[in-house]
Amino acid sequence: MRRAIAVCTALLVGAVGCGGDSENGDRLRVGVLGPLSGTAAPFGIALENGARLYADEHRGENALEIDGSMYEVEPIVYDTEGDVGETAVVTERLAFEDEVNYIVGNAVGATCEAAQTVTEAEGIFFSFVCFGRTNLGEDKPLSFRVLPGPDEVAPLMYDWITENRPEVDRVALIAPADQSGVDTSAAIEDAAGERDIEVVANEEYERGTQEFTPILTRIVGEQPDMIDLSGSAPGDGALILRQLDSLGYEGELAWTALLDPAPVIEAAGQEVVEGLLSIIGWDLTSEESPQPLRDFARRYQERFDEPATLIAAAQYATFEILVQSMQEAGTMDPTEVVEQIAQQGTFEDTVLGTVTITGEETYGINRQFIYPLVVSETVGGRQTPIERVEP
Amino acid sequence: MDLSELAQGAASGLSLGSIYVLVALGLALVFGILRIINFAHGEFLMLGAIATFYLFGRDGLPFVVVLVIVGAAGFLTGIALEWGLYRRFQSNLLGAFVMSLGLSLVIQMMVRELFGVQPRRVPSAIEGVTRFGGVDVANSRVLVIVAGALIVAATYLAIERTQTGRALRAIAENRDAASLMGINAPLLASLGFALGTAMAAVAGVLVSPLFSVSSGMGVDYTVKAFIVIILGGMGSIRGAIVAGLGLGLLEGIGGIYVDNSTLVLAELVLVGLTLIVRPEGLAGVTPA
Amino acid sequence: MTDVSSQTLSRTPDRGKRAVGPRATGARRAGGVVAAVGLVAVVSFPSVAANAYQVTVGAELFMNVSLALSLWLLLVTGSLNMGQVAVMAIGAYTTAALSVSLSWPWWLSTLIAVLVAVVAGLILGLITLRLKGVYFFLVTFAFLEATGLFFSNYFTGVFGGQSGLVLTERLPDLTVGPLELDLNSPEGEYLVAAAIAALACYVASRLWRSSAGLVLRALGGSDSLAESVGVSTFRHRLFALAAGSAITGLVGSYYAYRTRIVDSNDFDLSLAVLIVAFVVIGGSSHPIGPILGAVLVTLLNEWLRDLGSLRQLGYGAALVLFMLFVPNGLVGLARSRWRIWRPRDLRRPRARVSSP
Repeated sequence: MRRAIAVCTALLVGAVGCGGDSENGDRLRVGVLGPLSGTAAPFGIALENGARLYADEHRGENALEIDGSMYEVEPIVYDTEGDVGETAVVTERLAFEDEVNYIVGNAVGATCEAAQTVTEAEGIFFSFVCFGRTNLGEDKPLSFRVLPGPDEVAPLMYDWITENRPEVDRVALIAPADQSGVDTSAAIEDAAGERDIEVVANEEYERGTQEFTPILTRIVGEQPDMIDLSGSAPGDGALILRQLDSLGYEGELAWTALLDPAPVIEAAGQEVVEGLLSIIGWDLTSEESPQPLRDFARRYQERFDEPATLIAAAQYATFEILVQSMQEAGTMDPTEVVEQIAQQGTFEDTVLGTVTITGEETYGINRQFIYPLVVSETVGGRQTPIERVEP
Repeated sequence: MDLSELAQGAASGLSLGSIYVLVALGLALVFGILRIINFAHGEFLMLGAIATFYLFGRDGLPFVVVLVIVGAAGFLTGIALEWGLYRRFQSNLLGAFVMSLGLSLVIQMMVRELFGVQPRRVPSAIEGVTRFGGVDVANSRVLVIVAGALIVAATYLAIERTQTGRALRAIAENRDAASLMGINAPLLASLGFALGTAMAAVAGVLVSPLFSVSSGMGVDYTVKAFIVIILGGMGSIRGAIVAGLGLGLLEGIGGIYVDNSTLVLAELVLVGLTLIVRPEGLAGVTPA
Repeated sequence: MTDVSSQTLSRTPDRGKRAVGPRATGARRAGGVVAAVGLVAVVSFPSVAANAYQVTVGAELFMNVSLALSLWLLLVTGSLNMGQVAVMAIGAYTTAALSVSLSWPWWLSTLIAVLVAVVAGLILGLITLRLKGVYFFLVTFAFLEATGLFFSNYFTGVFGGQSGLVLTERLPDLTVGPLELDLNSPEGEYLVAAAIAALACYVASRLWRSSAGLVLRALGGSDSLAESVGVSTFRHRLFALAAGSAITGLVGSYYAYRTRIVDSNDFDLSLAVLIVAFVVIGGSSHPIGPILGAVLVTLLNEWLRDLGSLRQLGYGAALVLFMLFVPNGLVGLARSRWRIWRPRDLRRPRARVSSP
């Protein structure tokens, strides 16, 4: 028995040790980070899958031609566990052991800050979906945020609400007690305050909460005209919507985060999502959504047997923009490629439609991806676009 | 203080409390028999909830049938795990801690590969609401409270009144002496362990229509069950029942008036104080 | 049900065989040679490492060795302290808060961080160390969870709330003769971690050899017996906890400087479990155990990174399999296989006590 275990262990160690070491000049090795375990895993998995789909679709005869050579993308994926310390370690692994020049994707709280201490010093391109204000700046020229953050989204949403739902005077916020939740609620408080909408409650809940009834009872007791789910993750949001419904709440519902409607409707049930206002962009699978996005969602569903999310689409689009810029610049040097991206400024024909690189006003440097968003309302269990809004 | 708010809180608290009791009873039984803390205990709740998603949500089997199937499957899983894994760790708190955490990760990750990362929904067991004292309570919640009470009462009677139950308690009290008295300790230990996992799995079935189902949902119930068995007195069955309902009501009613982070912190402080000042538990039941 | 207060945490099959015996001087001499060779190997590693990442893994490894040893200090007396990671958080947050809010120099904030960590450990110990076995384990578990909540939700102006704290202060350059070393570079971080680990090893071996330590081990953490032969176990255990907290606080401070960001998410149950795994997998009946365990698990975790999203599956499976087949850790395995790292008295027939 002991010998059998020893042999198995040796085999396992050997297999792990030898795997993935094939040096091939035609491979574009790209690091992908993200929380692949724990409560934030849906975000990390979306980043991983977006990268894998792009890599799979550009193999063999679809390989990428850059500066006269053909390349295939090879994603190197590591789990950050959503931990700052783990992120620092795996970023160093990507930088020094795997020697990648590009890290496409990371999410959650302060982990992007941790990765940036390595990427900026080592001259590595880094794109992410963290929302901290200090993640972008003139001192971080190689860093890109590929999803609009709460500071971009909240004013748009509340502009639309003041215009189209003028009866909303009192809003209540509920968000998870984590960085994205707190930041989103802060951005909404600013946006609502500037438009004379009173924030009557601003509640936070601890990770893993399943029973929201007590918090919601308190919130409903404040008699808000609208409840905004702020930075709640899709799973939490779905629970909140269901429990609000059974409390008999009948006011407006909004979700000023880039939520992905498919999993929410799936997890909450059509009835209770009815009337929910959101600013996601599109229901990725719906007839109204732009053709490239819908195609992407279909391919994603086929490949991974899960609905595509906006994060996955943004991840895919980042690869498109990156490769297009490499081809344009005729080099794989990250600094030159970044320059090319900033110079070009606008990228048409990505899965997200036209992507613009902005941010100079807010961050002092153009490193924020922006694309058309759409205010939509859930009608009959479908995310129905109402109005396109440009950040 | 609004009366209907209070009633709402009580309804939420009772359904939460019923689930806590079901999960904590299993943990208390396992602790009593094997003298270990099973960190993978909440995963059996998760497995029960996932099974409900497939059997009830997708295949449309009647809820009661699912309850029975999952209970039986939980029991058999418990027998197998006790025999294959846990038995070797009897009284080895440290070894069992590391092993059960590893097992918990393995179960979670395997389920995630099958089920996906997104949380999903199970439809209501019984549609509609029932009106109690001015508040609407979802029928799924009423079911949790009623079914929970029945199962807990049956378990309690079985342990207190039957020959097998007495033997189980004897093992928990003094395994060596019980063996000398002719009690088949290994067999009964399996039985007790399996009873615990079955109850957790059944709790998973009951809770699934209330909340959402995901591979990571078990961990929080493990922690809550800890809190319950500490407050109730380690290993005490009666204590776990009283403390489970108490904790549920505290969260249900207290949650209306206190913010979430403070409530969780208060629970932890209460747990610490209990362990230091009254290790026999707050519930006032001396370990029998 | 039964009173569990006298229950001990770990079950070592040869516990009854241990007895107090004279020290072996040969082992000491051998230890000196090993230490000298080890020192050369440790210091020269960065210059032979294939890349900077290997140096980082080396730093991680030494940090883990320090954490494992400080947990072991108390564990060997029968108490599993889940609050250790909370003490590490206290060390890290104190360092960061002093550096960010008051711009104190690195040496002062580190010193204060260690002191605060020791005081926190002492307070925890004074309140809880009378509790035994499972009760101590559970109360420190609650302390761990409560600390995480505290740092992320309260005094957000000082501790940064959910965003954590970003350090502004950096470690200085170290100049030794002609050599100049940036302590913030991977090599510098590695050497600092190695120095802390050396300190932890020294403390652990001193405690292992102290007479009180010998008696405690001999009695397998049973207080009443130890006290009957005149050893104050409470004071001894409190000392072990304070020493462990000092090292842990220092590691926390180091961690703050290394990652430059202090975030309460890092100091959670999974880190606590990892440290317990170091000690249990290495074996807790000899100080070499936690060291071996930390090395093995750290390297295993490096290999498992290639599994990407399935890493946790591999880690969990490894824990289960290891506990099943090597229940007494590497030390236990080595003892039964190669008859090394046994309690010294076992080699002397006259000191042998028959197993009950």
